[in-house]
Amino acid sequence: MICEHVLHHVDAWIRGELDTATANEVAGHMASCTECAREADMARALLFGLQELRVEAPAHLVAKIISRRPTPARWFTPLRALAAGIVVTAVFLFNAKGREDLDTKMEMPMEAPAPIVAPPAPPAEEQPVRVEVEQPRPKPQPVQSQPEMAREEAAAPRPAPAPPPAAMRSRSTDHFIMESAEGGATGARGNVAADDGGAFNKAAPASSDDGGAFRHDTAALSDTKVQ
Amino acid sequence: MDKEKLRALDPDALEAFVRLTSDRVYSLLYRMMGNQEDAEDLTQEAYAKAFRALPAYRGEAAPSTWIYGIALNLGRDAISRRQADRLRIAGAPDPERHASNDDPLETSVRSAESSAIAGALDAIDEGQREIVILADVEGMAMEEIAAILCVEIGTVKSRLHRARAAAREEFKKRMGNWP
Repeated sequence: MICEHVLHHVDAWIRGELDTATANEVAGHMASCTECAREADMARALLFGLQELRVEAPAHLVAKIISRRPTPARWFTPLRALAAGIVVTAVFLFNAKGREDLDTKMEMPMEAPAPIVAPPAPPAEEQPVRVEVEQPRPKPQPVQSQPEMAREEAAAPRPAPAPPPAAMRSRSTDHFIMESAEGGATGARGNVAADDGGAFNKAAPASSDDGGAFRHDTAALSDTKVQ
Repeated sequence: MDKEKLRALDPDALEAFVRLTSDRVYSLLYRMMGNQEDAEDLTQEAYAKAFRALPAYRGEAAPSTWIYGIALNLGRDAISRRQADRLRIAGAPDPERHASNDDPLETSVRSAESSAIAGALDAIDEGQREIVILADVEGMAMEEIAAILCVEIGTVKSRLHRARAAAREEFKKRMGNWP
């Protein structure tokens, strides 16, 4: 065995980690090679020195660690488990009853909302006629206002229809007028009433920007409704 | 050590566990960190971490191996932090490593040979130092080292061989005209 191989094994040899055959070869070489023997001595000194580097933990440190060890969690003793079970069941039942009460309340008929009382109708003279005809579809209205208005209109002498300003005209009004004129068959067309309303209503004067047609039809419709 | 009792945080089992393992844990950390203060802090931290993790400890490794692994990781993290701090002051020597000449542990190894050994251990790289500490300072078996480092035994052997050779070279440098 040459020096290079011996030096390769020297650490294992001084620790007794080699198999017997290899260990014997190394030992034989060491007996005749002072350089390798010197290396072995050095490795042995290093090993012993390393072992001396081992230190003990200070007693105060060990005591501190021991004093800080956790206490065991003793939650699941049988009695505590039973108590916990009772609490969980009680909470569950309480919640279930709460839900049941809520369901019962939900099944009860809801009270109808209080009808909206319309404000007192203004005097007949001040009320423009178009107010009535501007309702294009019979929506649910406060029941109190409609008959009152009808009665008031029937009783009061109807003033001559004053032309409303053009700005007051609404698309829904035009739609209603066209439906009336075509016998209710112009639902889709009603959407374009603002454009062709004048042409559709033959009686409308061209100069009045549909306002005239609107007024005439409105008056006719008002008469119909009153009768 | 009774793993079940440890998992249940039985006080007596925990005390026995600490008494059995604390010397090695402390020694390992002392050698890694190079000073008593860091070693004490990290030893306490290692046990605090272990106590928190014990209820979930699966018992695949022996409790002692497990705590050494925790200590080793804490030591590595601390060294990384220290190296990062040191990098900010480029080229500065590590002031915390064996900083105090009054350290009672250092006074015990103040002879030339012992100082050379400690110096050689400090001079080799971190991974080599770890394995030399585990094998030659703490005297752990290859199997235990493999379990702590989570590597194969063959890997431990080859790493240890290189680490010992490196330590021997450093020791030779420090001893000069030996013997």
